[in-house]
Amino acid sequence: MTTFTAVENISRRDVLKLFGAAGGGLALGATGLAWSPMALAQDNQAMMNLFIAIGEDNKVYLTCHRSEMGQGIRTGIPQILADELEADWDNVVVIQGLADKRYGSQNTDGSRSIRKHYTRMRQMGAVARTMLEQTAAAKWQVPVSEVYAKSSKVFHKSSNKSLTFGELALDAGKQTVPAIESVRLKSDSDFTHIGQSKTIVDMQDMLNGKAIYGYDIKLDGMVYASISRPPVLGSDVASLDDTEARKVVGVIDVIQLPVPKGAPLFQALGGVAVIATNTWSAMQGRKALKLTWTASVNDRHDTDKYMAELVAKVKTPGKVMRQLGDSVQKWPKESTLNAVYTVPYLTHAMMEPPVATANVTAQGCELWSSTQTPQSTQQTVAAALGLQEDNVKVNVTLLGGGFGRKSKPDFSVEAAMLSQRLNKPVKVSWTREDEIQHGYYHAISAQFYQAKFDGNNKVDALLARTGFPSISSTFAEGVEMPSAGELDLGFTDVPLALPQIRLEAVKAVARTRIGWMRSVCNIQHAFGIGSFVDELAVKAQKPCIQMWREMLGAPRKETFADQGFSYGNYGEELADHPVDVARYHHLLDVMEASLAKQPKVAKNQGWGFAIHRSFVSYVAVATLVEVVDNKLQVLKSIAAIDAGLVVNPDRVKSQTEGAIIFGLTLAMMGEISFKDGKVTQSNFHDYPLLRLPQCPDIEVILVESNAKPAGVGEPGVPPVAPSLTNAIFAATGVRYRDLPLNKVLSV
Amino acid sequence: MSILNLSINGKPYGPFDVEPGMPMINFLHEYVNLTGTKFGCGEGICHACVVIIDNDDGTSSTHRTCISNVMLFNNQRVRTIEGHAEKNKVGEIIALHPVQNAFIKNFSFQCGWCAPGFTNETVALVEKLKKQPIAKEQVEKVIEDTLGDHVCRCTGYVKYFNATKELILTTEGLTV
Repeated sequence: MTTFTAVENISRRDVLKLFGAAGGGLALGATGLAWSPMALAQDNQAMMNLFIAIGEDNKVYLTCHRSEMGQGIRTGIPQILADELEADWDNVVVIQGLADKRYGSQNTDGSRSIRKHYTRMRQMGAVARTMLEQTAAAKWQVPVSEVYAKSSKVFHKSSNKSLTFGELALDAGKQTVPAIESVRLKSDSDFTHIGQSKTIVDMQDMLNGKAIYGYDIKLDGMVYASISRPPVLGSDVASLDDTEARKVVGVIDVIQLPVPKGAPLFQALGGVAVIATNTWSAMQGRKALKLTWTASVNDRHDTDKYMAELVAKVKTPGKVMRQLGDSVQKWPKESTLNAVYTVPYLTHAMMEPPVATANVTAQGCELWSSTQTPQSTQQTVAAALGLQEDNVKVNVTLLGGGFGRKSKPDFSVEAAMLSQRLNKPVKVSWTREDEIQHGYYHAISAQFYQAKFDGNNKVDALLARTGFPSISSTFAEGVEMPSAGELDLGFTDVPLALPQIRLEAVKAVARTRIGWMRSVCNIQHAFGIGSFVDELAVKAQKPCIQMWREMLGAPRKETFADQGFSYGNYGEELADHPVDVARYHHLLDVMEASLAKQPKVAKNQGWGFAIHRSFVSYVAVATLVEVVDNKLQVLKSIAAIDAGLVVNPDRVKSQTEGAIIFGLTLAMMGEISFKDGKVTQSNFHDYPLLRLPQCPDIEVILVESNAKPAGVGEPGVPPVAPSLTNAIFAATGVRYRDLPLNKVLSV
Repeated sequence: MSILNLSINGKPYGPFDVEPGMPMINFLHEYVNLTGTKFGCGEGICHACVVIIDNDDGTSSTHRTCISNVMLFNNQRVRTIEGHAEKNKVGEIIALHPVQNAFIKNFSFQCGWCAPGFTNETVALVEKLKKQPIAKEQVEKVIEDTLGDHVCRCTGYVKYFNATKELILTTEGLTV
């Protein structure tokens, strides 16, 4: 009996072969790295296109060009390819794509792997299927209209004779590739793999220690590095005494890395690297370093003071980003309600810290990296080493989580620079302390909200301001205003139908590296608007869901016309992914019906609600809490998600469940703080993550939709925090506007 | 340097010259190329790095390898994530452990980093329950107590919990 997943995974040996590790390195050409995007394509296989190869043995090799970090994309992309190809899932072998511009964007962030590649993957599958069908028709000398593909075979309709893909592959591979526009795509009702909850292809290997992550790479002759980085952004090594470090058994060398000037970009932070024959010795050597650091403009960064200044700023006028109706100055002085909400710095805390291994030779650089962005890794490493991009080969390992941190290739640059200096393979494994203290942090933020009611107990005017150091500051010096793209994330793009709306942003100077973390600015913006609508509902003595209905207005496709605001819409055309208020309303109805079925709440319990559109998906979350003697227990979370057409329903459910845990974690216990320019947290004891006993019962409702596939990995996060604090208000009558909650409640 | 001998997944290893103070996880990765045990925090907080030691009295116990000196495992019988599945003579997997099957059936994890720790902890729990069955009404609390220290950043814990509960309740002899 076997319960193995039907998909054949590449074995550890094959992975190493794929990565070139087993043979001691990759094939390096004299003028560049001679690798194929389809690394396994061999003489007995036919490359049908960039993503599909078929072997004479009937195996179907499908390339996933996106990074796998738990979201299941190494299953999802092949599901789409296999469906249009009509491949038998049992014959599928998934190949991990290397960094290669021919794939298009490989940036595995922004919840876009499916929404941006769904159609293209279908076309790739359909092109290959068409070539196989044409080959079979030619062999049988029948019109191609008389043949069809199914389960890795091509059949002749009238005679029912068939040929396997393997029997057709080599001839099919010689065919002229048909124009993408000419091939037939299946109707949704004919899907065989899309829409199925297939087990993720790496699951069995993960459970047997065979899956290869960044931490698992080992090369012949490899040495290990542990790096002491500047504790304050912008500081450099002032003095170094490595005498004791060099005495540690196993330590080979101590190397000072330059601290880059200007904007941080994706550059290595610099510092002092201890090189050893094993990780432990490298870490012991690092501890033995006697280091002092130069002063930095960021030495006085103190989050308590910074937040107080930010809160003061959002109470004063900023730059208008969107306006509808009269200016705010004409509003009545006595505003009905106002509030300020704050969210601290956060860090990613993915389970596998950053890690990369590099082997730089005279011919080029080969990297094995736990990266979400192979191409930016390739570009940044090439620039750091003075190489052509084509001479940097990036192998993408599995990622033990990413959440946006592994989109920044600074750790890969470190490995590459050290390998270049040492002329041997070098592995750089970050510790948890490294990860927490040298992140690209989710921005500290404050949001001010003010609204007034008309004479009919309805909100008719809203003023909101947001303030946070911009991600753009990581890429250019002197940036003090949030970018339009950041404000699009849940601030300016909420389709409220009010006569008067004025949305402003204020300046904030960056004092550390600011980066994107799962759902990015939607975190603070959803917390602001999601909390404030609930406060308005309480004031108006209406259910929160009803208040949302009123403020969203009639179902429509909002374009934000004539509001001084050009909406980026996550890089999507509004025609493809409109801001569809009807979909908000449908989710409101779904959640209202679900809540109606819930048992009556007990004493000290309460439900909270929030809804948010992000990454062109819509998510509503309801949370049930109990608060007794200042102890918070989250009892239940219900999430309803409309992400358009779903490729793998279990993946969407799992990602949404995970988003709830992620959102609860940040709301209940997430905080990075700075003192004297340094991060004060260091590990999971002071940057805790939610655990099983703190985890609520979770129910995920997948809303059926014919809309185009939308984002999944991130949209579940934003509404969680406001639904939680709204629930606490319902249970206790106390409103919490500042995260995290463990500052005031026992969690 | 210290001399280390031990058994891992039924196979003898050693003698090794190891650095004094080296954590077991570094030994597993860098000396014997068993990379299935995962590093999460280095402080024994997240339990991603848990392995099993089989004691001479027939009991088993779980240990965090990121904070345990490798010499604590000297002359011990250790089981890691690589050792649970049944293999044929050439080392090919022919059957998964029931805990592995339960986790796969329930889609229990996502990125997989925490999975070895959860699996080892659950395997040890199931083996303990075979010797000391519990009442059905105790099952949820026992699971929560056993897996409550393990951190998962991706999944909602629910599927680990449900998989373990289903396995315990449907496996003969684990409950009374």
